[in-house]
Amino acid sequence: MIDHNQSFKTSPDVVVTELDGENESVLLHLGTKKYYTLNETGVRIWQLLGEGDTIGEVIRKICTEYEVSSASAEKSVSELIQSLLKEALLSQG
Amino acid sequence: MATLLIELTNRCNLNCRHCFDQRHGGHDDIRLPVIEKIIGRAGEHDFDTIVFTGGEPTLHRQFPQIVRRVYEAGYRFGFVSNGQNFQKIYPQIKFFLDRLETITFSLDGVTPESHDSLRGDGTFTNLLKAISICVAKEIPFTFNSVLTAHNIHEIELLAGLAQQLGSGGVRFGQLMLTPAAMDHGLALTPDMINTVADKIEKLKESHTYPIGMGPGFYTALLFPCASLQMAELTITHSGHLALCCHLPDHGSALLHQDSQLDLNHVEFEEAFATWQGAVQSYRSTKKIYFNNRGKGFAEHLPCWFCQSYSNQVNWLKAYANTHWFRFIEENNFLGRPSND
Repeated sequence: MIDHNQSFKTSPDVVVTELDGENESVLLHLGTKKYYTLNETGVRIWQLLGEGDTIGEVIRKICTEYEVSSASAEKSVSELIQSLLKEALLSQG
Repeated sequence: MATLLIELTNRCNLNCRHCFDQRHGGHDDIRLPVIEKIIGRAGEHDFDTIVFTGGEPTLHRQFPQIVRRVYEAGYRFGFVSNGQNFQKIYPQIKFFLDRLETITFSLDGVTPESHDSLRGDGTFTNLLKAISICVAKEIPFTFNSVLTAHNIHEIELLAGLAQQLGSGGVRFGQLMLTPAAMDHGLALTPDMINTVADKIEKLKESHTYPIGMGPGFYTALLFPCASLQMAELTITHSGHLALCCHLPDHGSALLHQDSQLDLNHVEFEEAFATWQGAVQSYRSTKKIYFNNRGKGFAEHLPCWFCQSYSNQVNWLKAYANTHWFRFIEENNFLGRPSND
């Protein structure tokens, strides 16, 4: 079970680049020099986490904004957070 | 096959401390009829690649249209950029990138502090954004690093960073000597240039990653540059054919005043023939000059002969207590060399 009250901090070592008109962004980790591409939903989750939203708040907003089920949103948010943590793009707040 | 270097504009969105004096601070773009003239006929003279320079070439008001015209005419193309405008320009040129040779971005430091101190606040981050797009979209790019007294200690780190960031290679250039370079304490001394060249050679030997050296370093070749081999032709933002991208528009620029080289007034064939004649004349002068004099250390630094030939070193008289003044004076490079 994930803790819906958990919040995170986005790494200050990440440069985020939005691609105009393509609904995606590129993350560059300055420490590892690795690049990552996020799709539109991923970018939104990244933004919400960066603003200090808890997992529960992120899931609720994704459900509303993208008209997806709570279960689907929870799965997407959870998987992305795990990936971001693994790559040190995100840390626990 | 040969390459055209077209200086699209002398405008720039930066004000770099190491920029050539009195250049790149202007407000002039090359005219589209001149571009059309070039595109229409250059292919018949073996030019198959067009590289846009500046100033910052992406600031030309019709940059996307020019890229499109070059693409439609069947040329491969590339451009040299500081990367600050790429996020904006990319959506407008992305349809033509299958004929892109490479984008050469300027990288002059390995940290925001180092890069930004030469190019301005925030420029390092904006550059990283530009190359992030390139990596995500598999757009080929390389780096050009201008070595100055400020960053010569970063050569190895610059090569490492360029490789880590996914570029196709890095080329090190030396800062051309100008009053601004002297005033800002950025000029390399002759000894520094030799040390730098040795370091780059060692890096090249120890890396499989492509590392290159720009023109101007010590060479045994009499005509080391692509332009002197007539494999590269520079056209300035004012529409003039020139000998070298380093020479136009400052000092008493070589070839620049000749109306027969002005594409605003003559056709490409006529200007190109005049240019070929001028290069041949230059080559003859240099060959006879060195046959008569022999070659000393100074003559192995090829830019000095060109700058002297185009009357661009006399300003050094105002810097009489510097290494370079003594160097130029000792080697009789004050005043235009002749073949007497």
